[in-house]
Amino acid sequence: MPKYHINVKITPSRFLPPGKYLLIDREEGCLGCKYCVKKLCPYDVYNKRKFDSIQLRDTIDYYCRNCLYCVEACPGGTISLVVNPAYREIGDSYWKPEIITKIWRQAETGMIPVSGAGYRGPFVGSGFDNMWTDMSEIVRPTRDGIHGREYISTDIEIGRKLSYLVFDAQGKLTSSTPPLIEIPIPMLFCLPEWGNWGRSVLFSIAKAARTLNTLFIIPFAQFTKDFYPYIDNLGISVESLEEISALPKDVKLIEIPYSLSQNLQAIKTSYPQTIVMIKIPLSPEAKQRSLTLTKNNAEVLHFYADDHGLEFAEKPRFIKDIIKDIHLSLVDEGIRDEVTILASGGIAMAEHVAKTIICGADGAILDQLLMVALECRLCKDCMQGIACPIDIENIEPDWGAQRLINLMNAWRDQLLEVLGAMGMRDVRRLRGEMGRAIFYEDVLNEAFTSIKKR
Amino acid sequence: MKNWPPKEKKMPSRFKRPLGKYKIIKRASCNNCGLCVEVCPYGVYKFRGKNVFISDEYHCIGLSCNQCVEKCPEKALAVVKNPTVEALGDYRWTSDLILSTWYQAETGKPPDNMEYKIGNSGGGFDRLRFDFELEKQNLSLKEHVSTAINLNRRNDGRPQVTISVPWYGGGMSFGSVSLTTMLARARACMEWNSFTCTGEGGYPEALIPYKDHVITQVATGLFGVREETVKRARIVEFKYAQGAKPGLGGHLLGDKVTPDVARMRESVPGISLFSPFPFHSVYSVEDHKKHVDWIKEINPKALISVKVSTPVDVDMVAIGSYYAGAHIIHLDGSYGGTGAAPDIAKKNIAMPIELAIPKVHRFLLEEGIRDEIVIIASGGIRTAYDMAKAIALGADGVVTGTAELVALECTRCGNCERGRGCPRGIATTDPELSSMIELEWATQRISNLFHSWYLQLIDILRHLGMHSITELVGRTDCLFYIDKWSEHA
Amino acid sequence: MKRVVIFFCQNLSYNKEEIFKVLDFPSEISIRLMPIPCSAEISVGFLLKILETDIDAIFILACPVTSCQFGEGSIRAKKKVAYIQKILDELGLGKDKLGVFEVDNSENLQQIGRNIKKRCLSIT
Repeated sequence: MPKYHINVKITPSRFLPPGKYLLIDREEGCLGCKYCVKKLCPYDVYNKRKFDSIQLRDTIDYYCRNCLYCVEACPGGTISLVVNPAYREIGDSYWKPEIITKIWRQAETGMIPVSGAGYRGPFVGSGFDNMWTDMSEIVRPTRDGIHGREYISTDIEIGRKLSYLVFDAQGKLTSSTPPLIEIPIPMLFCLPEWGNWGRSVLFSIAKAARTLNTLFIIPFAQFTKDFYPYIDNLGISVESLEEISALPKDVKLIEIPYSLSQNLQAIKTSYPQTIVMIKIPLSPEAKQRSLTLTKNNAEVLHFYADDHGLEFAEKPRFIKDIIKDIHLSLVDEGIRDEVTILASGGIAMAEHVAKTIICGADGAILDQLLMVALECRLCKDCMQGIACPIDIENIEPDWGAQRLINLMNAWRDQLLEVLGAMGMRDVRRLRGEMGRAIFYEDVLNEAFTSIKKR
Repeated sequence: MKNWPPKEKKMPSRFKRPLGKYKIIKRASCNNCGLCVEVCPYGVYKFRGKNVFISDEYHCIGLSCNQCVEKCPEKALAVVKNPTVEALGDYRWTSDLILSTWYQAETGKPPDNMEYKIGNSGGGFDRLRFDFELEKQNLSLKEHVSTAINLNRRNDGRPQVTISVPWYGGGMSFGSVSLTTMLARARACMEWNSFTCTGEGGYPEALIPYKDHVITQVATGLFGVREETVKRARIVEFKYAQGAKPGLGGHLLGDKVTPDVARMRESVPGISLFSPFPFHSVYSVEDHKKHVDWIKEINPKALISVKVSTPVDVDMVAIGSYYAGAHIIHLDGSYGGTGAAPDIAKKNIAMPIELAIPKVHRFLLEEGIRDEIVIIASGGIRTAYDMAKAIALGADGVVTGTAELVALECTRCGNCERGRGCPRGIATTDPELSSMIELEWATQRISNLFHSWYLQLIDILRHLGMHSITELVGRTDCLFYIDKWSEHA
Repeated sequence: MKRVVIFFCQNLSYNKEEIFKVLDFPSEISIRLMPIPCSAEISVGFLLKILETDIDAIFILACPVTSCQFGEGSIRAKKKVAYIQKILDELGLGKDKLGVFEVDNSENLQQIGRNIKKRCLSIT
């Protein structure tokens, strides 16, 4: 089988992203030196800066790299550096400006974010930030990541698997195997719950899904005739039984809300070769529902959290902890392998996909991330009837598709780095590998048992 | 020991207006009367001919003094908090830590108006504190306190190597940093009777005069590993992995592979170099022993150090290394520095050093071989207090990296691998950029920082009533952990 | 439709939403509220370039002189704006297109809002 490869093409943003640092030039006290430090900037930003007439700003914030040379070398001390307040406005408390600007860079270049100097963030955080992944050395085999010669597979299978097969006396298979889709990356696409995206955005996602050979879960209301050429890479999300009856027969995957789950058998009878995915909100009932549904022949379960990865409850737990819970309870019943679990909500970085899979999901579904890749800043002005500042409705679908393709390449490469470090050749092996993860609370207690607390 | 400790020597910044916490604004109404020059206890103002100018703004201690502002007859002066300081630093290296490291590199002692002990990462070392009330007894200043540690505890006939301070320099390769940086580190380490390490990129000839204080590193890229470089070192370090990018080899991006670097590494200029991971000849503990034996054969006198990352089973790796014949097990935690690494690896893979040290220390104790091997910890050791805490958690000594670069005025801008490299001339071999640093200046800056660390370690040991740093190893009873953490600056 | 840009110093004790609410503009005036690190950051060249676009008026909300973090940002902002206003006057374009206001408290902010609204409605 040929090695899976994603073709990347540099696809710059339409709007120059706000940079992190702004230079303030006081002017008063300028000594008029012959060799002004501005001419000696190692990154030549004083020549590159321009007036951005659309965003009404000085683009020096995009180019400045915070080396502080001009600040410290100017004898008059007229230059100061500050964090750009427009930068801080992007995103929110979970989708931080750093995360969003990194997504933009990956969507533009398709490359893994690499930087100098060690990790500079907090020791731990909440959510995905209180676990680390493992690596292998000496006593365990390793793989050489994206630069290696060994192929690391990122394929996953979506669908129901039988617990056992039945053969007749002649050795012929008598079990009827349910439909299964194999996708080359453990990530699917869908739309966020909010926003008016417009058809160009939908086409961008559909095109990207086709090129990457993954699935885009499109709402029934948006599935018009011109999406039909993409049918092999679409899943259709319905709200009612009427909508189901209007679906084309060759649709690969249908997503139904939890409220329609009792109609599963009826739907399967009408669409035997179609995979049915049940969309369940993450809540305290999710675990019990997963058990019941799996025992009743459910094929794929899509658990979703809110945009910050939190469940819908009074005291919300985080997505990875609930997935862990669900995964382990299915394992205890001995039925985990029968069903595919996909998770969405709060997946903002490539490491979140890896960690979600470690906690027991088969793969992740990306929603808000896709919009960010298309330059959305999560300002949510569209929800207030104000025009979108980045005019997302008018993007070119080919441009949009390539942004998503680039991003998926960067994320897949990061996944390969994590798998390679762990010595794994297959992402399916990563599912539920909690023994190879390092959970902060556990390690902290183990390491600091003898230290008194205050 | 004569000439101990080496003396500090004032070595100010290379820049005309180094960053300080406060900024001074002198308005045009200044009449050059010179009252501020007289009144300022920190020498901020000076005369140049008949005019007053701001000479050392960064010495200003700010609003708690305010003498010049109050006394100026024309009300021409204002002291404000320097806004650039907010753009400096991050959770691990806060602006205070960076500025106080610069201060220590300039003066050789810790500052008295800035935080110099802890950062703001909200975990690990930053939540551990020394329990100084523990030992009421304080040693008097007359009693001698030793900071030396032995690196060979195996009694295997190989020479003893003692370093006079419980730290040595981490491997930063030629190519990722400039030759001047490497030489400065080597000379400072020679003064302090410790070691620096060549890093992955080969052993530059210029380091040969300091060979007794240079560790040869054998890394997965095997750059510059030849019989003579192994034979000339007293310690040989196997770099299996690096904390900042566990599971990956070294990265040196194309623009930084200058002709000199390419020659040293026997590669081609302009082509990025990614070292493999792991050693492709080592896939088991037995292979590891073969590896160690190989070096031991070539150099019958050298001590072997094994540098590893911190996986879940780091204790197994440590015991495996012991049985393979290593003298030093060097644990490199995940929050360590690097010239270039994927962000996902820096943040997520392997565990921080604070959590790994007690694990390994306890396990080796249980196995009964703790006192036959030396544990060295690295990966984010920023201050003398981090060092002491690492030793209290169970290490024998530490390795530092980033801190030495900050002494050379690194601002942690993170542009190390971008283009030609460091805009301050530290982490680059580009001839124009690396000429920004002068060797004597750099050597003294690092030596001053070491001097400040030495003073602080002695002070901690005196408070704890210990005569030697070796008494601190594993003394977790001297620490306490801050349970309730509120995020604040 | 009048297009107005209002730059506000990030050190004011009001955030974007609060300022938006207090200013309470009618829908015929389309505002962009943009934070700046200090009112001194805006240079003369920058203001002139903005006036070249389809923006009708620019206003700067600055900190009171005594509380400027940079020492005297509001003073500098005033000087720059006065300089441009002189040019605009000479060109016959009217100096009301530009303005800088020091914000002391919320009543004062409301007063400024009324002031700006009046100016916007009067410019052609």
